[in-house]
Amino acid sequence: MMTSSTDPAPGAALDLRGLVKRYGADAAVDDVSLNVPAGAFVTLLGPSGSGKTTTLNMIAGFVEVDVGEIQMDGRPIVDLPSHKREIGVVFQHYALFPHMTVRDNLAFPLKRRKVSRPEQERRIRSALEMVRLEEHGDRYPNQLSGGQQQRVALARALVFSPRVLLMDEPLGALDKKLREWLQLELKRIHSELGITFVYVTHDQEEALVLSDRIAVFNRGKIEQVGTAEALYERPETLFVAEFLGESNVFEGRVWRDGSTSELRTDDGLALATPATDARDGSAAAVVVRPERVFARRPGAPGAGGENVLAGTLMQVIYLGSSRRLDVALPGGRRVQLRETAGTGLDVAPGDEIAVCWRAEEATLVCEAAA
Amino acid sequence: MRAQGRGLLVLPALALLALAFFYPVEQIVARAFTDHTSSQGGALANLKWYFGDAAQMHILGRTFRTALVVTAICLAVGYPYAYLMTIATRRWQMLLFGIVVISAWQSILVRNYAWRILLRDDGLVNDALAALGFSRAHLLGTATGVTIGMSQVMAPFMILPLFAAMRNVDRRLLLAARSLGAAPPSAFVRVFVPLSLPGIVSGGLLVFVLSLGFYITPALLGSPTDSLLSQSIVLQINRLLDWGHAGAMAFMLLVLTLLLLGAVALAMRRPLARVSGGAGGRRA
Repeated sequence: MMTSSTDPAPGAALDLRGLVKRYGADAAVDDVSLNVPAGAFVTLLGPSGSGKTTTLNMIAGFVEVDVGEIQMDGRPIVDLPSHKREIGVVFQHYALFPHMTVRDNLAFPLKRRKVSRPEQERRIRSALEMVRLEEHGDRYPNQLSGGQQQRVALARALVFSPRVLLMDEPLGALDKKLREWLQLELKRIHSELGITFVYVTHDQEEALVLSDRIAVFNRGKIEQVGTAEALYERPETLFVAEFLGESNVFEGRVWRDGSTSELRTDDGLALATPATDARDGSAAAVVVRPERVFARRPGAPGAGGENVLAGTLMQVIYLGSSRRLDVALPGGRRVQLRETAGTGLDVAPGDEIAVCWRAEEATLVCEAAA
Repeated sequence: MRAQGRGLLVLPALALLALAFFYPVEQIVARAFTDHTSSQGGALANLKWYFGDAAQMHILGRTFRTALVVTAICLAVGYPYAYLMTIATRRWQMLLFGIVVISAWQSILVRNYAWRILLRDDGLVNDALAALGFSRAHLLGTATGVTIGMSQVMAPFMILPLFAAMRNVDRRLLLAARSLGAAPPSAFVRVFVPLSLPGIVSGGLLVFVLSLGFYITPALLGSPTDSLLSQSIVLQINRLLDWGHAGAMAFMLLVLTLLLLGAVALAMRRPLARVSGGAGGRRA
């Protein structure tokens, strides 16, 4: 809708290669490589200080790259000043110019590009329509709500038809309802425009809702890149397993026995694991999501390939569509279960129960590399 | 009860103002309308004299012109200085701040006598001009000398409000401007300068208004033939003992200053309301 006809594709591909950014002795970004396909919606997810925003700022040109390369559609852009990169940026703090009306804010990037008056008018109108603020062109930023300001910021970052849009926690300052609505708006706009979105957030739920691909950042490095499903179902590191969703983690060492393998923990548990080719005795962890664990009466017969652990039910938390059970194992270890409403046993805190899961529904995380 | 008690806190200041400001002003203004050297013209005789006297009108025009030039020089010198203060590291900021404050703390007499030495025909300024290949200029006792001296005395009144305003500008807006395609100079002119407007207005007003009524510097660095408004008020009182004429002149200075303040406040109300919010949005 807002792309010029000369562009081969609306979105540009980004290729980050071995990016390093140091502040003093600390590496804020430590050898980050990431491939962002043209037109993708990629989220950089991680806790604060994990390097995701610094990475974004290097793509935008706000932060100099110490080592490494950034290519946009195969062309290196590291030496290009930010005002020549043709990349839109949306900031958490909106960064609207307070001395200009909404319309003048949107005209700003067009004037810098010497777009003709009628063309400016046309583009501003269509950008305001896109974010559904047609009526607000003559307002000043301080006359708008936070959500409206962020939509203006989005329109301003898109009005000059950049092929890449960067967003740094754009919804972080907004309340939950508004955030959820704007998430859907962002998805709609992304599919309408077909340009490449790179999105930074520390909110895993937001990452799951929005993105095609997620890069999980931790301590300046990317731990894992993949679809939301791949990260959730097949986390490659303990950090990813624990950062995305809830999980029960059992750390220990793997021992193989023919076609089966088990993980032995320090407190004496032996858990059947999914098939692995890890070396005997190597450190690993079994990660099992609460919704994959179910409860049984103690002593009820288990099926083959199941892990069954006896414990005491400590707490039942009613969550509407589901409930959560908190079970203590004899060694003091806790296991969390999540049951869909109406499917679980009739149990009460203090009851002896058994927690079970099928070995292949857990993930074996080998931290050999770490 | 408590809220009422709080109001009492302004009483000492009010009392001081009443005694040291409102009362003398009232006395002077009253004399403008009551203290007449001739019996003609009624209550407005002194004002009629003032506006009818070409020499006085000339002095009034020169006073405004000088104040305007001094304000412009202070802005031209102060703006880059204040900007340097905002981007400097903490240590440099303290140093730059110290230079401004210490020069403002110096006795104004000391500074003006220093300028007398510097501006002499064989003074440092003329030596420098000569060394650079320019001809020596007669500075002491001229309007140029007065303007130079006043600009130096007034500079802190420009720099400090500018610095206060610039410190409030959200510098991240400059990054936003860069990402939207503005080269650094363009981002500075179109985003930073408009947002520093509150500092320009308050610094400009402060320097302009103070310059209008400035006495010591024109008296020490200028000459009677180039006198400014306050010098001619002093002349009326000290030499001619004409309190009525002096009162009329003081009254005019007061009215013109208030008119100016009112006009600027009116013109700047809307733009300043936008800008004084600082950042574009609420912080997270």
